[in-house]
Amino acid sequence: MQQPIITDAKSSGIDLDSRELKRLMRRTDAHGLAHFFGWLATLLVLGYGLHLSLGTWWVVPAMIVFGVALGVGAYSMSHECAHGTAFKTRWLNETVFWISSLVYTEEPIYRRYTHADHHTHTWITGQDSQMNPYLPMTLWGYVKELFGLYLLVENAKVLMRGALGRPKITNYKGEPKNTIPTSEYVKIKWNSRAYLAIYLGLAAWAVAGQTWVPVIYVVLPRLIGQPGLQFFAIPQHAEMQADVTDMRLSTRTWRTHPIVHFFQWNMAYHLEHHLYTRVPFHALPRLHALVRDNTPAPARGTLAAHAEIFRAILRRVRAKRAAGQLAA
Amino acid sequence: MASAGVNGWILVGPADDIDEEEVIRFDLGARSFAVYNTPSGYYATDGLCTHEGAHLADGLVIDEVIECPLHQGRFHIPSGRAKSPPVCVDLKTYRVKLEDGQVYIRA
Repeated sequence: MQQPIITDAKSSGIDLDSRELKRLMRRTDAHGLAHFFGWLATLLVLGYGLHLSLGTWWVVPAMIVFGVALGVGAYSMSHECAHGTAFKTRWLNETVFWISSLVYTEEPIYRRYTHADHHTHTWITGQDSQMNPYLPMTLWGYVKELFGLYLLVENAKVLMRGALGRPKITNYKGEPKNTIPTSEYVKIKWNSRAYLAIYLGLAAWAVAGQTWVPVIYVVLPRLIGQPGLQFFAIPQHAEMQADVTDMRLSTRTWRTHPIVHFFQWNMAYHLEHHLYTRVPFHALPRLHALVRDNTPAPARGTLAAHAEIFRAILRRVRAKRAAGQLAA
Repeated sequence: MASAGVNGWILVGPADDIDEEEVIRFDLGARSFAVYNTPSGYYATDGLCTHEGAHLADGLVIDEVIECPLHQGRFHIPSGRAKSPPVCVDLKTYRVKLEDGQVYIRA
């Protein structure tokens, strides 16, 4: 069995002064509340725009924009809450965690354990519970990762198995990977059943109420928004080096628009987040300033990060063709 | 640095060395402890998180809770109780006393 490989700041050659770090670690409720209500307000405005667009071709872009805002916000909020760093007040953190994970569609306790595992063994093959299954990435693998439908299927499996009291204990490739203590099975079971009941309730509302409302404002946007969510999430580790302890090689930080930073809860500072997970999202820009002399320059933007990923994939595809491993 | 114990009490160091809502690491041979200064007093627990063994002295103290630096698992300091995933095994706690401005633990 492979020895566990631990990835943290020290393994990445970064060692900040502990007092400076503790200043960065301080939590607040204000920042999280601003992002939470900002997200809700945005959804109200975009939802109204979606409503006005019904019956016209504008419904297509309106639904895409609404779906991306819904998905990116829910994913980022659920992620920050999984770390316990979204809010200082614990019940607030856990409540928003439950709600955002419901929208993101992943059972929260399972999410917390598997994500902790991802941070312990970041981008280590066979050890990172959340490692992309389509590695080494091909062009088709990139497309599958971008559409991200496999993640929704995985989330559904987590809920189904969780509801049966037998949490999923495999990674995205179906390999055995158990990070959930048995003491958590009961809580996962009841969370999963509650989530499934709510989703079924939406379906029942649509059918019994003879209405498209839950489909137009929840189901379709969440599905259509998934590629948008993935577009902003893929640069975190895609085409970075796997199986290394130095996260400066396996994890990417990239520049992005302030609006994107807002909805992503600063997750574009992804290397900084991995180096010190206890630093809350609102302090990541300050952390970036402290470590930037010892970390790679950020990618110039989200599109630039994807261009970097795409170039790496093309190089691999061309190399394989040159070696005659692929049909011309 | 550990100092010889008197009646089972081991000297950790000056109480003033631990700011309020702070934690320090204290090693005694192969054992590692975390010694805390919280709003309700001084406490001591095992120094390693029961989840993946990170040093709690690198974590964050909020009131009477210590948060592991690695995965933000949380423990109630006075009782050692695991409060939230990914921690689920409680921390062992140790008695602490202050005498003449010095912190002692019974380990």
